[in-house]
Amino acid sequence: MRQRSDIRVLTDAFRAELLKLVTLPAIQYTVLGIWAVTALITVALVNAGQDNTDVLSGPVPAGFVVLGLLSMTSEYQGGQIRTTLVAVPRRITAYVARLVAIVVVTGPVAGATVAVNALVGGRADGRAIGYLTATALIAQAVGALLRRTVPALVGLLTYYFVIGPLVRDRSFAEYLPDGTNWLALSVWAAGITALALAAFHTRDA
Amino acid sequence: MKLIHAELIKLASLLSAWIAAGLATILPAAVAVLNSRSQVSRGIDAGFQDLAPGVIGAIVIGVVAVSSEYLVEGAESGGGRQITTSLTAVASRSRFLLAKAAAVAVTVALLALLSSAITLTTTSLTDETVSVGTADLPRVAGVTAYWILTALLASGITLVTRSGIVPLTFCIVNMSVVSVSFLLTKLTSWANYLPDLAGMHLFLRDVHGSVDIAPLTGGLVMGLWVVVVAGIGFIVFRRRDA
Amino acid sequence: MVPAGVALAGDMLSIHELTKRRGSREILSGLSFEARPGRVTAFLGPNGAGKTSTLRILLGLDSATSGTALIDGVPFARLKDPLTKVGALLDGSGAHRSRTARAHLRWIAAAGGIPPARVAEVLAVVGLTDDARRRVRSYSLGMSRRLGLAAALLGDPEILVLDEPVNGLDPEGIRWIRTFLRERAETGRTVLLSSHFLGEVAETVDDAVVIHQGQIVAQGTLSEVVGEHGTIEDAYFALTGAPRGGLR
Repeated sequence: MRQRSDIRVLTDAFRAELLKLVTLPAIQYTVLGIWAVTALITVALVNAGQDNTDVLSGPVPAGFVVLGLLSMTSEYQGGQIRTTLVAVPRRITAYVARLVAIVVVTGPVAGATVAVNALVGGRADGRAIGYLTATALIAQAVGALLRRTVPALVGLLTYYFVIGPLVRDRSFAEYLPDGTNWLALSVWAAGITALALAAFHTRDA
Repeated sequence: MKLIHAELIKLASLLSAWIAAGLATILPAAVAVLNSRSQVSRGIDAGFQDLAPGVIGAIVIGVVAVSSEYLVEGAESGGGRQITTSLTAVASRSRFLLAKAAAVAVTVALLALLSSAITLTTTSLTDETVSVGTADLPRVAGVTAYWILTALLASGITLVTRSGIVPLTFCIVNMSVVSVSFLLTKLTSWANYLPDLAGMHLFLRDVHGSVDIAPLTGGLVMGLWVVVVAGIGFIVFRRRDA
Repeated sequence: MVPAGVALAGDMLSIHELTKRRGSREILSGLSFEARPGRVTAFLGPNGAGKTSTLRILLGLDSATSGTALIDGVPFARLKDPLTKVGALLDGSGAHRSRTARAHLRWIAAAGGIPPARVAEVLAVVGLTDDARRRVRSYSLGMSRRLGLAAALLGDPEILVLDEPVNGLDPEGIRWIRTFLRERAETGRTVLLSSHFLGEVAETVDDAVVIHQGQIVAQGTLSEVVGEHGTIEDAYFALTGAPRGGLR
């Protein structure tokens, strides 16, 4: 019997994760919702004479929280996680494949969102692509840790939309997961992903 | 009464409902402490302004009371959805929904009163410029009404979507400082009559809207929204296969 | 462990001294048994006896507290081509409710490096060709089980591990799966199926392992297990101490 190489096992797993993400209706609707809301609010901002890129740090990250979260918690519906682990038993391979697929999906979605905003509003904010992708990554890790959509969503949205804005004026705010410091943001995303990977590696599925 | 009791038990068994209760009671008090340190005079809405973020708890309870009937998560769930069991236990869908709405309203009302007591006490203890007295009781009633109406609105939207994701995201983002409703007031003054903005007049006296609305009017406008949205949810729910 | 003379032409499942604890509760206590090529092995016991827990450990979904569960001498998690080695069916469909059956099987095939053309083949085998583009949420219990079986067959595996395979199937489906499993065994493959449903067992299986409260109470060929009890049903109730008539 033929044996696949380790690289081939990983690329096959990646293709599977990509297929899973793009064939999930909830992911499709979330992406369309992000673009629709971005366009709508950009129009409102322009009419109000405000900076059109405000929307990218305002309501839009919520869409990327949902995107990242669903890409992980959808595994825990219908017992799909079992199917995944029977097809890709090595957990690190399974998680890394999924992580790369999430980046490959959310990166371009973030790019297109910034493009929509720039086309409608005039000013482009390229940095938002990185921020939105990082937000989705943080959300996927929280989803992988909690394995439940609603509690994870409530926690994330409460942080991003209630607690975060409350402490925005503090000196440490730029180093928080919703802050403006790139290094801190990368450390948050990498740290919580490592934690989620460790949990996924050791826990019973 | 038996049905309401059953719905209260279901609600109490949800992790998200307890998270919501925590958020509703702790968040406003924490905000009150934070704001009292800012040394900025906060005028007529001191304390009550701090209660606004607590409505997140009401939103979550309103959503999960409905969405938990549909969502199946976990490896060995067996694939069954609770709604099937609920509707065989209570044949009448109208009574089922009324009991659910009552359970949500009772829970949220208790949380609102508890949170108001904690937050207003905290505010008057930490901020000498603020005094809260019996004259503020109508505004406490306003907060309670606002939380209940918000929760029922969230339940109504969830009845249509059957998934908690859309209503949770939409409602939580919209109640935050990046409120979409508020942004829309810059496009049209009609946006002041959106449920969240109109309802805020129930307990805030200094709403940054472009139209001045009396507390009672605001409450009635929001109530009308709830009737319409919950009504649509009700009709959809009754016609749909479980 | 392996008696001399049993040629390992196909692939064997071997469980050795398997123990699983959750908190203070011991779910499995030192289980040892094998499932051999060319034979259908039944894993019998009442609900909650530990059948599913054993299969989950065998498939690397849960970890064992101690002991081993090996596929041809290797833990499942170390297999490079798991789908061509082991096909597994656990409860439900193992599919996300809002995906179509075809999309579900396609991603599994991709993950296993199996040609996508195989998807249509397994859909035909389990009789779901006409419903392949429907979302899994609209499936009946029987159809969900068929979809789970289709996923298990994608890699045309050497070994089948099936948890309660007849659950949810109609009489026609049950007859079909019996014949199907016998054919698999006769071509030298290994079949391990768990069941608390006794009717199906006698005619389909070669070997039986009976588990009760996390411990094996009997194992061997079907006739050895039945022994002096007369029928498999009598043997089952005698061995598991379940009240007669308490189960179907």
